[in-house]
Amino acid sequence: MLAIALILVCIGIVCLNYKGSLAKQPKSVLTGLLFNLVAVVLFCQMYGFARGIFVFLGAFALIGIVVTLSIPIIKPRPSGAE
Amino acid sequence: MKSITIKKLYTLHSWVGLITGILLFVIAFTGAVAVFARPELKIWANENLRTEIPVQSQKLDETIAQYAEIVGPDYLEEVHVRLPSTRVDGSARVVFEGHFETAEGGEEHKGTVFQFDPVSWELLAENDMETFFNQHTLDMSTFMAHFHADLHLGRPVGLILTGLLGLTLMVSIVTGIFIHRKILAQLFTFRITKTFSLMLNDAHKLMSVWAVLFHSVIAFTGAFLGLATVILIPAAAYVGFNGDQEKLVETFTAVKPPVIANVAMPTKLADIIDSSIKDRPDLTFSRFTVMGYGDKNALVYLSGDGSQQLGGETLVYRGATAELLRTQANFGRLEGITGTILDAMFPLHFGNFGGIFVKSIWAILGLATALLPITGLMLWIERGLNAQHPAHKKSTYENFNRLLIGCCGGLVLATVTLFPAQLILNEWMAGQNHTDSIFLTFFSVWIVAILMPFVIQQSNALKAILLPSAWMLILVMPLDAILTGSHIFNVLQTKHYVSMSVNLVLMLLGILLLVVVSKLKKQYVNREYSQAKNLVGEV
Repeated sequence: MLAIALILVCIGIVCLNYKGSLAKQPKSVLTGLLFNLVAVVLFCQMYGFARGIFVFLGAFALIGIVVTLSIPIIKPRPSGAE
Repeated sequence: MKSITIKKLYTLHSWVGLITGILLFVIAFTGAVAVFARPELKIWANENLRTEIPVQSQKLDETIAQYAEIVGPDYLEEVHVRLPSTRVDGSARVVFEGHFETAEGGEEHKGTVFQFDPVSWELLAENDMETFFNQHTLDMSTFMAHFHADLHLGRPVGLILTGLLGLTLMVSIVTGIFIHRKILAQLFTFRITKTFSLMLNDAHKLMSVWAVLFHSVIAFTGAFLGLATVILIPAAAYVGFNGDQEKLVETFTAVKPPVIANVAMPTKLADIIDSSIKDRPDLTFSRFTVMGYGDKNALVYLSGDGSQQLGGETLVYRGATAELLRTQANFGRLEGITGTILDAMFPLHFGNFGGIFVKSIWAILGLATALLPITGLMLWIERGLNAQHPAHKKSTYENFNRLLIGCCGGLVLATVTLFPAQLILNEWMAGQNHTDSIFLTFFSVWIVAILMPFVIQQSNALKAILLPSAWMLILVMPLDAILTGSHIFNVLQTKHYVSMSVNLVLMLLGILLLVVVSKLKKQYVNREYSQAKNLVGEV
């Protein structure tokens, strides 16, 4: 269940990304939020409400940093692009 | 917000970072290591803790009964026991404590501390409470934990300093939020192919924005834990308890003395421990307190971590009958949400509320907290060195850069040195107090590293700090195998799973650091090449 929750957070964060910015399309934002919401529920199921929320916040922050750091490695921007 | 206000906030953000940045790195980096101080590094540093220790409730019950007779009835008002099975201490500890009236009409707490071998329960040492709590026997794990808590400056100076650093981190977070106006627009922005300055800028922002809640929680809980015992509790006691801090603590904490019946009845400790382990498998019991040991009305407070409550749970038993009376949080007596918040402070700061998974997240994010002031300071130096009209002399930026490399890189090197040093001390000074040697090793390495960038070229100094760090991390595992005979091929026989995991993680970190050093080298060569090319172009 932990692995599923982490994958959901990861997918949710990727859905929120649109070319290096927070996605503006409501569909992407809602999908991203939905994935994260399900992940919160799974974490709360595993750890209890209070602990689950904090575990989610930690995992969300860590995965967010890792995803953002890996974007230029996976998809390098063309030189000169802002 | 007006641009002039944002400019003022930017100035405040910069100055707070400049003044406290290096200290903040020291606190955050040692905090990331201290997350694993108990029990993982404690187990790694003490050979006698590496194998799992059974609870041995019967043996514990008999030992306490035996020593209760030796200390006498005056010292049975409180009996505090740290269970060796959690492996957070090198010995099993039993404290017999009594309350005595002083000539001035006050109350004095006196007692005896017995330390036993955690497996055989053989007596190792006996001290009075004052001597025991004033003596410092540190291994590398407790050294790091204490260094994070008060920088080894002691109370109250060290605690106030770390508490204030928590407050300054909060100031930096708040000002950072206001000055970084494109938070959402640049949420996923990390440009590594452009300039070094831009990469630093993006790294600083992404680590601060994504983990802003984590940084805020760490800053708030850190400020609270640092300032609570030296400022908040005395202030609250002054206001509500005529300055009596002990009375304040007794009023608000969960362990309450019973009304002593003065009727002797054995306290059924073995039954209580056994039934707790059976009924509450979700909890790991670390310590217990018996109030009124051997009395009919004795109460046993057994504390454990791991339940759904953030701050753990205390099971309260009637000592004579082993009947479970209630379960409560540590600050369960406080009404409303206050108790819950106070209970959450420590686990939220150290991340010890969800096993090794949460600890790992906390440690990695703690490193991100440590990297925030570093990237901020590097950005300030980079901008200063590249500016056409810098605010300070070039030498100021260069000297600050040297200080940054020495202090921050040196701290990493000094911390890493403690691992092989601990193994060597365990072998060569077995059974002796390692505290002085640990202090000497850590601070001598750190001082040499601080001075190095002022003596040799900065890039060489950085290499001279990072390369030995990487190799020492890699060599911990073979050194452990040579000195203790515990290695990966006999781990199934020795069952040293925790210490072997620590060795493996250290080796992986070492390899990662080697990769980073080689990348840094390439980047440095590229930067020098492009600078030279620009110079030729200008000519």
